[in-house]
Amino acid sequence: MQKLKMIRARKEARKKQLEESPLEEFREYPDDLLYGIQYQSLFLRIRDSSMNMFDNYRALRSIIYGQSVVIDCSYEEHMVWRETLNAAKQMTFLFGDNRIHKDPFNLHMCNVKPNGEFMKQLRKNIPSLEEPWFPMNIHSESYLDLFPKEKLVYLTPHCREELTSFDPEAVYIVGCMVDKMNNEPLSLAKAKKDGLKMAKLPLDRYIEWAPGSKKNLNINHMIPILLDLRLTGDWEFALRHIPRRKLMETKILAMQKRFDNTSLNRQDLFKSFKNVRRNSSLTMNEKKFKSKRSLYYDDM
Amino acid sequence: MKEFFKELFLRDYMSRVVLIKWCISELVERVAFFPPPLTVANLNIITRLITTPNTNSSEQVEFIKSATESSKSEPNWSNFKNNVLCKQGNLNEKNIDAVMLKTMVANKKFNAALSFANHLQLSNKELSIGAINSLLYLYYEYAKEYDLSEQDKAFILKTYTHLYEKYQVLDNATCERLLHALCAINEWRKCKKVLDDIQLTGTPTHSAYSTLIGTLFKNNKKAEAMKMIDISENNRRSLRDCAYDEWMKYIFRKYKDKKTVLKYLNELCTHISKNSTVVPRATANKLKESFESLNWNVQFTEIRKQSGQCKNCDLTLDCLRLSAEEFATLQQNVKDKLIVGSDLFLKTSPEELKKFMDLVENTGPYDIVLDALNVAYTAGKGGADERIRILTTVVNHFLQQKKKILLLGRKHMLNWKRGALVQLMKKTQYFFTENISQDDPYFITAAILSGPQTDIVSRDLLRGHRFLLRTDALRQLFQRWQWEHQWMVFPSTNRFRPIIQEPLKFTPIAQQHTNGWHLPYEAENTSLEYVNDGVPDVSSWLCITQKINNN
Repeated sequence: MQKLKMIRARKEARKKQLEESPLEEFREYPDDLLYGIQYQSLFLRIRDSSMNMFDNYRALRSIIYGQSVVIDCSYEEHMVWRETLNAAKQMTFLFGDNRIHKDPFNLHMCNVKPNGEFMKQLRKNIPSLEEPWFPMNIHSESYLDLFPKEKLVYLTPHCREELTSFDPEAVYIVGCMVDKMNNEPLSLAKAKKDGLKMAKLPLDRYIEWAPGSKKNLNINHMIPILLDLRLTGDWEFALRHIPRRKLMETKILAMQKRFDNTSLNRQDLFKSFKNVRRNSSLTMNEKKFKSKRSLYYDDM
Repeated sequence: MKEFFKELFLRDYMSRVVLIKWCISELVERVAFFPPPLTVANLNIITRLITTPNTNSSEQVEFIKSATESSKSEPNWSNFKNNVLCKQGNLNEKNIDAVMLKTMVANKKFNAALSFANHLQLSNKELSIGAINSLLYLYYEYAKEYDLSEQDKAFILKTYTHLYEKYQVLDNATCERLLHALCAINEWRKCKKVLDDIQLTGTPTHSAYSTLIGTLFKNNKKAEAMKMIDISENNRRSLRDCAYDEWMKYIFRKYKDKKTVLKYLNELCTHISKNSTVVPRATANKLKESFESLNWNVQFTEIRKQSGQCKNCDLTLDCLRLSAEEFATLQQNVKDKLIVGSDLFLKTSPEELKKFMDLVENTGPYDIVLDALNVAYTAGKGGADERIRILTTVVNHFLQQKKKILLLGRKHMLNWKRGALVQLMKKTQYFFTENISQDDPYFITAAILSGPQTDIVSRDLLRGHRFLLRTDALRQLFQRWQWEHQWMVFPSTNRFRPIIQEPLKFTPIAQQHTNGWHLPYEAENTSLEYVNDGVPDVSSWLCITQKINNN
């Protein structure tokens, strides 16, 4: 009896709190207009669903006129369940990023297992995935059946040839996998098996990579890079989608920050800086590290 | 300035990576884990100073350590606990008992720990499982040096039944502690159930197996102990010092006649040799004492790497060549496991494999197979000229001995100085793989399929490839084959004459000879300074010989 009374009292208090608190103004961007009874605005509210429909229209137009890009979903058996979840999440982002872009791709998902974990999760993320009006193509067949073989180019980080320029006639294939645990060159093996042309992005030419991060990019980074590349042809602009954590700049900044935050005496540190410069002759171990550094930069 | 920070970051990163790599390589090779010595030069002082994280979390632990330092009589434990909780840190009411006990035991403050244990048991609160773990840990550590009281023993048994009633299956950590505590009171029968529970989630630790084996020997259960030793070795857990120690004590306890004692000590040594293990240093000392008590001569010695001679008795260690059947098993397994694996396309392609197999079958058995890329890159920073020069030197060295050579490389090598390379190719057989295929599995397969007399030339330790032969038996065979047949090429000060090192003339595992034994043991501190060239340490061996009676 006591307990029930307490619960009821708590509920009432909470209700009161809610009523008395000022209404929260939620703005997604700082210069958004606010709609509601208290606010005045000149314009009719454009809701999320209309924005989505507008983007869908653009995506559907690209299906008719645009360039195809294939996403190869045959790596499910090489992924753990958690990785499959992550892959589905990246797929959702990818779809969103694609249709928001000025000039979307015509996305094809190939080698899909209709009842596999990946598709189940994707359907949970995008409930309207299999509606007839949904602007994404899902095929269970392989891309070899859908596109002529000469046009297919498989993008994999494990090969040696670099993609010099974007070819608007080629159909690029990106492997839909999250290979945090697996180190094998699976996409390379697949491309070899199907006898396709392979290419990798010329990352080393434009960006300084930090050691310890793999050069395998997520699919939701790859497609925006390809989209921007197709739009502008400018690699620097396209490669801005790579997450900052993989790059050397962030590591340098982090090191600078740590140096600033250290509670040590600046004088002593500067003295030891001088020693670092002076000891250009490296010890045997340091020479070993230097020569092995190339192992960490080169993916092979 | 930016360059400086980049350098700083790279050093910090590399030092951590190298430490981790070193740890992993040690784990893979010796299954004995030493924490890497922190005084090694590769930790740049600056990075160490800068990257030390804020150690606020151990304020509580520091307090506990300092407070129990002074060996006063029992402080008021509830006040003490409150003091600790007031400080900043990770400890809260739930984990404080466990952590306090653990810290005290780790610093060997047994009096304080026992009094705290008493306090915990007298208070009627239900002990958290962390606290129970720490108590079991305390009793195990205490029993190592002193005797447990009846009360403590009863507590351990009570906990065993209580835990299994409350939780049908116990977690890994609790099982380990329980096993150690049960061994401390000689209840080895109950340990079997606990061991099974550990195996549900993983492999038991070295300490678990060895403590159990030690307890079995203490209770004179030899057959059980031998079974447990087999299980331990099969799970890649070599024995710790406590197990060997108890084994020797058992032998001396049970057998009084010198000859029988000798027979069983020999059995112990055969076990070491059969499993190709390396005994811990403390065991080496105890073995020395045991053999000396039987009037044998035991010396710490070193083995000369070039000849395999023991510095003490000048006997050469044998080279245990692979027998025909062993070699045949290697041959059957090597192609499937090294090249094909789960998917042939990961390392190469079917056309390439077919071409390779055709070549090997047609051009027949070879005497030497060269890993051309590895040999060429002993030139290091030099250009293509240097590399071709070194290759030519090595090839000529073997041609002088009239050997049939197979050169294995990658297609991009043909873009080095073509003329010189073609000259080389005229004198040898050759196979070049695609640039995106791996060449290593090919040269290993070529050598093994070619026959038991073929040697390989490569500085590569082939540890990754050894791992791919899934079973331990195959891995041992591969290691012995490697020791017997691998030549290595090292750069030397003279650019034109690299050092070509022969394969080992002996097998560096424990060996018996007519008059005694040679056993390897683990050296104290393996420094990071030495270059790992695949051979286990030759500077820490025991030479056990029978004294020749002169009267």
